[in-house]
Amino acid sequence: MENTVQSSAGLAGQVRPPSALARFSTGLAQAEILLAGVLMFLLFVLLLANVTGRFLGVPLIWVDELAVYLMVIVAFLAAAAALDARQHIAVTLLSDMMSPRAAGLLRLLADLILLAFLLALAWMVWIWFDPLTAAAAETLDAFAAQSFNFIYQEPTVTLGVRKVWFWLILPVFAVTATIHCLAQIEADLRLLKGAGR
Amino acid sequence: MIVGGSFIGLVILSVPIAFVLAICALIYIFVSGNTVLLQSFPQQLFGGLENYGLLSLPLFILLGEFMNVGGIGRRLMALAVAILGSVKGGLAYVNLGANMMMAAILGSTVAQITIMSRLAVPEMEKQGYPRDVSVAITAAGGLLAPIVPPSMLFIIYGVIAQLPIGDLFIAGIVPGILIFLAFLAVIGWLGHKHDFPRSESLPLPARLRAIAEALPAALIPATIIGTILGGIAHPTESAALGSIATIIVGAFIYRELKWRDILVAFGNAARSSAIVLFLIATATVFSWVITFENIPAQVAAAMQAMTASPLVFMLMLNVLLLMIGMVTDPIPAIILIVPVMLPVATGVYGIDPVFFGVVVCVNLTLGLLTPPVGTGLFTAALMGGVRAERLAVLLLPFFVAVLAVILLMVCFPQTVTFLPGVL
Amino acid sequence: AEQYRLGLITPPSHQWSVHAQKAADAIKEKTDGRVEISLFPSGQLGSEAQMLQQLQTGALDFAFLTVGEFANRDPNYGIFLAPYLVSDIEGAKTVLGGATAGKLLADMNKFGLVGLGWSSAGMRTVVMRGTIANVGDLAGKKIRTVPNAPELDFWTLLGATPTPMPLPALYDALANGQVDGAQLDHEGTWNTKYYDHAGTIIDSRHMMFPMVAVASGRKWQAISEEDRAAIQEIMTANFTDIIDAYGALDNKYMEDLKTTPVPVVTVDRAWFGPAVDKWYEDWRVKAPLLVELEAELASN
Ligand code: NA
Ligand code: NA
Repeated sequence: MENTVQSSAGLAGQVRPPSALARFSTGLAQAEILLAGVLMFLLFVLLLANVTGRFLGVPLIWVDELAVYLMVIVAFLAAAAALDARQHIAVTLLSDMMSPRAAGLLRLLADLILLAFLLALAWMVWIWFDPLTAAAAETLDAFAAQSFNFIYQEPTVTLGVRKVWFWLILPVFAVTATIHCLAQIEADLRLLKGAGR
Repeated sequence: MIVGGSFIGLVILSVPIAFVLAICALIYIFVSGNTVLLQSFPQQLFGGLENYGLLSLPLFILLGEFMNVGGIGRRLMALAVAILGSVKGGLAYVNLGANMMMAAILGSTVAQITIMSRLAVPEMEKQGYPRDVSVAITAAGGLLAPIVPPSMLFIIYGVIAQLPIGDLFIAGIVPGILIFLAFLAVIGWLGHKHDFPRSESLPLPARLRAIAEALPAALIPATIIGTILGGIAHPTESAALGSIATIIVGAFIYRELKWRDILVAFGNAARSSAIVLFLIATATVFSWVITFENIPAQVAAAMQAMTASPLVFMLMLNVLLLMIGMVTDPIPAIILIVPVMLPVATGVYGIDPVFFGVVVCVNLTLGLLTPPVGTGLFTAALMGGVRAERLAVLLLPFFVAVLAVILLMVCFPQTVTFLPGVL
Repeated sequence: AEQYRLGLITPPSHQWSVHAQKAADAIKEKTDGRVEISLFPSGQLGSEAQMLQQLQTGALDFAFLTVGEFANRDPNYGIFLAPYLVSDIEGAKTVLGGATAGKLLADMNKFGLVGLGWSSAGMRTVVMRGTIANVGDLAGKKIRTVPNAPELDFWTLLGATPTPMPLPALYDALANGQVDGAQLDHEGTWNTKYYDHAGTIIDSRHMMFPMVAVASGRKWQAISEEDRAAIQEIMTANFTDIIDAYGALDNKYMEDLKTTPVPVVTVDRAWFGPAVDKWYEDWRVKAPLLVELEAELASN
């Protein structure tokens, strides 16, 4: 159920150099994990600061909220990266019983469905952020008043910054996840071609 | 119907489970015609993780990473073996006993499975236990975490139901012990079936050496328990403090931990927690869409129309909870179910709300280990390197044990209610 | 019949939820079934911030929200959280029915909402570990509050350390001393037994806990004028009922709490000393509407 990449390499029976897209996707995934690891470290430090602060009688009231947002960002970053390594959990009972070629087709179908979802997500994020209308409006307040879309007004509770800065992880996720998914689809196609020969 | 069909179809097509939930939520939005929800979909996905309680997950995964590379787990298990002596399936019992003790400190299954996979599985494998069976025992032991107090689930239930959390904790003690005993029996049976190795009885010098070597390692559980009980940290923070203790012991006393390991641990913890967290995010979106269409309230009304007997109601509810537990996580499930079912249970059937809460929580806990969506199952599979499908099959006897305890509780509510009444 | 949704964060048994259900039933009857409102208690549809967004898009139709959600967006909404603004829940009723409250309600349109009215939960009091004899004993203590500016300022001015934490974490935190006390209401203190690990219950009733009922601006326009009038009328009647219910409940729960072994001390504005006056000095600057509200109260 994890890391089916290895089994698919064996399936092809031959090692071909990865495509530019595959290399880009893997490099991107490494960058995502690196950043997620750094943020994880920050999260760890924040919690320690919280304990220390409370112990010394100076609780840092903004720590809890920031820690939660960091966790959310880590989750989306590394969840996108996990697409590249095919680490998301899936039930592979059916494909395990199939011939390599049928399993390859199945994997292609699953990846296409995934791509459709990620494009739908990108579209939903787009209408939520509504960047063109927001940029055309005189001020962001005016944009909110016209559109009833308060995305750029939403405050954080204790951090003193707008929440949209944290929500930005969603467009990032939509884009990077789509790139990883496209790379997987390309790999599926190459594999099918290889298996057909 | 369409959603149910899509769900099964997508799972079989081996679309990742987290995405199956998100896609089904999307399909349901279109089927119900409530397309205005599309504008809230991304925010709800983000919001599913905006929960302070979830922080314990990455932190305990991080602690598990450190314990793994720091050589802590090995020495603590050696200590248990030194104390236990020669017993058939000794390590399996040690595993369960350690889980029971951990459960009295922690409240989260995933956190506990993460730690225990690092502690127990490698050691059991080394002694000749089949790896998959070791992982299954560890995963089952994790079920004790939210049942034996303290428990994150009981707390969330208590806040929704406006009940004394202390009473819920006390009410969880007897079911927790019953499940522990049932698991002991299952392990005894498994030991017979798989011919578990006998733990060796060590000579006294070897025993003393194991104890001496484990003393610094014992600093880590001591840090976690001590900082929680001393009011210095709550469980999530105690995991951070425990990690510091692990780094100190691993790097300076055992000298097994390298600086590079520490850096890698953060990346690994991010990767492992993201897979589980993303699943929770999409499960929350799924629950939100279902709730928005008022499905839980309609189901509650339908059940109410079917029977006047509290016992039948509770039995039906348990079947429903099992099904919900299969496709979602306990926390979204509690928010989905309790606000609509609790008024029916107490108002229409006169069921005790503490009893109701314990049954609901124990039942939903089971969902952590059931496919297709089980964060505990996946965590154990991920940490133990075993396929989730295989693990689910091996867990069957443990499920049966828990179901038997649930049935006992439903038929004899006194098993739950007598202790809070006495204390 | 048109199906509408009303969201709130309180559990089904809470007075807000109970009266929301009563209002929904009455509205259905009055509009001959044209307006059917389903309740979503316990934050089933999300946190208050999430519900607010759903109101703005028109996904959610109605909500009962705490004032804190608005105080974080505009300090003027924080003025109802002024310490000892009123001495009891009757006073809260006067303030929330007054001209300043009306103005703040009308201003809800800047959030894409239509304000339907104000109400309140029970008066805030304090539950502390250990013995508290005078206000000086609060200095240096960690007090759990919700993270909004008016409350944080109040505790900071008292020399205590306000410590925000989610409600589910509170019971354990009080038990193991992670916090020394909490600002609560009598209802929650009694029902959830937050007094289990307390040494003193301070019956201060120093702050009201306002609730505002809102409709989605988008959805409200689509309801017929006749039905809007019916909704408004029935909601308003229920807001008064909620406040009246707490008048009786606060006293009932206080009597219940007096049966516990935990000593109860009853205190007033003077007990808290100069911190209260300082709070008003600061907030007249932060929230200009406070000056108007004080003038309104003085003229009553
Ligand atoms: Na526990
Ligand atoms: Na499950």
